[in-house]
Amino acid sequence: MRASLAIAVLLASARAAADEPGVPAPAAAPVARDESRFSLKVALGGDYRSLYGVPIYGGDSHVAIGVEMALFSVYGTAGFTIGKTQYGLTTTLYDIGGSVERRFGRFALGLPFRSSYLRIAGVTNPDALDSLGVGIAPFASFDLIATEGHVLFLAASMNLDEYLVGSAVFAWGPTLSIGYRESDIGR
Amino acid sequence: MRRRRVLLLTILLVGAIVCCEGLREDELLCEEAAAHLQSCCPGFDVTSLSCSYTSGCGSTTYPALSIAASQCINGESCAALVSGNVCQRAQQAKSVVETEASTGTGSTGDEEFAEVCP
Repeated sequence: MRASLAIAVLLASARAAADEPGVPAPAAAPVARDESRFSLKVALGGDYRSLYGVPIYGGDSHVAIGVEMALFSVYGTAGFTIGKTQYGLTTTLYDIGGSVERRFGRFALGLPFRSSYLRIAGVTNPDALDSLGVGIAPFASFDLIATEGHVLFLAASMNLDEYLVGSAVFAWGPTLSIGYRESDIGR
Repeated sequence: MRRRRVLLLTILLVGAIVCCEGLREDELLCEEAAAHLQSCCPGFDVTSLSCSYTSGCGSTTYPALSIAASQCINGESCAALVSGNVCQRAQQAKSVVETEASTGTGSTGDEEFAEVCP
């Protein structure tokens, strides 16, 4: 009877110690490591933009490096898009920025924000038309194939950019891309 | 944090001033029309057409093709451009120069553009 009472007191004190805020729980460390991990994304896609009603068709490439947490991910992003207008003017677009994403299982919604540089080469004048802009590109993505730490995904985004030099002009258009995401690099 | 924001804005502003020509509607549509004319019109010399906008020293030079003319050209087929003599008229189009004096009399650049299209 005395022995069982002693065991009960020991168990109760151990549980109380585990619940105490100042005492770290032994299981906390592995959980924290799983919740936050490095992540790399690369994506290639097809791109359409409309600028003053002139259609621009292009190929898009993006890379993102960041941190995945339980539900949210934060990335730094950089991209390059090369394209042609309807009648063949060459366009190049560079962008750099950041992105916040929220995961819903295999789906994700994201909001990249970026600054960009758009250049359009003319045919009458060697000096290109170019401008700096700021914009966002909200997207939805779906994980097609996911193995441990490796994911193949599809993404659809809507590019909304305001170019600010000289005449301010708004450019918009969708991008459809396929990408690869790797998490926990180097572990 | 605030200092970083100010620095970023400063870099963007300086970059914008130093780096870029700007994206004007009349220039872009004119360049697009010039590319269309080049591919449609046999012997069209695209280098003799000016799609540049410049401003300074009391005068402003507009692209040779107005926005309306460029939109018209961009909306036409090659056959229509050739048969409608748009190629010839576009080849002869000259930049419109607006001086401070002409602005003072109320004339505008658009009134001086040659009829090119249709």
